[in-house]
Amino acid sequence: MPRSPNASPQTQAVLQALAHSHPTWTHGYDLSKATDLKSGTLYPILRRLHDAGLLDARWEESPIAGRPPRHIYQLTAKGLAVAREKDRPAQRLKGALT
Amino acid sequence: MTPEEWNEGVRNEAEHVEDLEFRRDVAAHLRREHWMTRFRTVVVPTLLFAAVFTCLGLALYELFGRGQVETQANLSPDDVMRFLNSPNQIWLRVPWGTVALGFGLGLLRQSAGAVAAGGGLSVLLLWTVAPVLWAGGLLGVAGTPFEFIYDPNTVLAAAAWAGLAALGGQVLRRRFGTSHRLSQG
Repeated sequence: MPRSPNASPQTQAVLQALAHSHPTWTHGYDLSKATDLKSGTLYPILRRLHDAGLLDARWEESPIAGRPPRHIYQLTAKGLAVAREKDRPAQRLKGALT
Repeated sequence: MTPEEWNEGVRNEAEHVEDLEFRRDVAAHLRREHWMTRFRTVVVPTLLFAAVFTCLGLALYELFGRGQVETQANLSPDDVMRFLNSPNQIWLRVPWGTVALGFGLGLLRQSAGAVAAGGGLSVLLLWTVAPVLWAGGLLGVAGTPFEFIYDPNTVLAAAAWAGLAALGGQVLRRRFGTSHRLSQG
């Protein structure tokens, strides 16, 4: 059976972090801290999720003058559904163990 | 969002945080991205061009080169086979030289169009010069007088001018053509 593109533990960690902060828009740095992923892993995952239509990304103007605009991220409705679907087996397993 | 916009967003993110480790990590990530992009857009197409047209050059030599050697130099079939089987340093220099040239031109302009121009130059060189040089070099090994149907210097110059014209066209197109500004939002 082919492996789902969103099946890696790192991608799942990103999906869960974004789902927990939903509907608030999140910065890349906060996601890096929440998932403990380095940039080389985190940003390619964000790009893949965006390309798959699971993630919205947009520019946010900096409130501090002279600072460049930065990206903020939020799961789309489809992305939120995928994140919740991925979270369900873990919750079921957790419920069975307690 | 384009790859450039993604990278710009990542770079800007690092400028917003005080975490030095994160900033170093982002810088390393962007350097890797830069080299990977360059590899995909310059090295791979150039090597592909060179490989494909090396094969074409060899095929053309098989079609036309052998005939030239046999008819013009009045060699016996045994001599021809001996020449064809002997190692030839001139021939070996041609594909590697053109790969380097195509790569250099592509790197210089850092765009797909320039890679195509560099590749085109490789094509011209390999296609037209290699069989002639190969035949001439092989005959030179044996010291047999051989008159080229095509003068290699003329062909080489024509190929170089064609490559330069392609590169010049690319430069002009970039300077005076329509530019696309990255949109934000």
